[in-house]
Amino acid sequence: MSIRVVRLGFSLPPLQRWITPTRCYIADILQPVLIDNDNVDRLAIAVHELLENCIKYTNGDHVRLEFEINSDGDEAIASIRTTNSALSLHVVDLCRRIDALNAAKDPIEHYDDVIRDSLIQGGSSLGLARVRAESNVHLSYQVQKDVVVVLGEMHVRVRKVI
Amino acid sequence: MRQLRLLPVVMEGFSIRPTLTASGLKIALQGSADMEARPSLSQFVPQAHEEAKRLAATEVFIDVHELYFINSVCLKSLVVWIDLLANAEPNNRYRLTFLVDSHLHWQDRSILALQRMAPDIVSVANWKGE
Repeated sequence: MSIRVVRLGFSLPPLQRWITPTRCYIADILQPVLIDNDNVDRLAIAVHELLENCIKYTNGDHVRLEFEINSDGDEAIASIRTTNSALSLHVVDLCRRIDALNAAKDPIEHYDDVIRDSLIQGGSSLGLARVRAESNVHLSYQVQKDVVVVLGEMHVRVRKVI
Repeated sequence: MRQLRLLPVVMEGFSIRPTLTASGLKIALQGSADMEARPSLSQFVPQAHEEAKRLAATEVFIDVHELYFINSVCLKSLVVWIDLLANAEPNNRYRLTFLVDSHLHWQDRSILALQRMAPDIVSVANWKGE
């Protein structure tokens, strides 16, 4: 039977100043929940990068972030879900990047390629590849009209409370 | 006497503090490098590279042991620094050494990604105190 260990939901105005406090808040909550502090760091980076992306590209007046950990026996999955509306060219670009990540045989090699390419293309564009390679978070997306949902998932180990 | 021509950057939650060392420069990044820090860091990087060249530095330390977070946009500024160094004339090159705190787990992964760009000029060492 699956047990929901953590469930957090945020509806935020698309302002950069909300990103760091949200990351710190989630990291503080995860600290006593997860066995491995390294996973707190990995998830904090993923939350920050995904939230930053959705705030940067939204064309709406708010974005949504949901964070959950669901445990089933010894297995637990942390999920980060961002939702925002965006211009279709940004949605297409996001989907292309995530498809490329998921098609890559080695996330680290792909990240190194993205770093090199970023020097030619300008902008940052490292965020999603970083989330995959450094945080070991698997990314997927759903698009409905101009609304894009990005889902990041990662296996974690949670402390047993009882 | 050598004099440093780089000014520190001090913001709420983030700072860049350059100092002279025997072999060149030490740049301490402290706090959280996020979107707010980006303009300062991206402006500082080419200035620091020019200053290292002017001082004929053989080594520049980037001390990140008190850097608790860096986003990918600020990481890109460090990517640009490594690229500037890799493309510099041989007589203007110096070694770039990141001083990390292994207790900050993200540093191993993020800084190693930078080192993989140019392992012959970028190294990583554990911060061992002043």
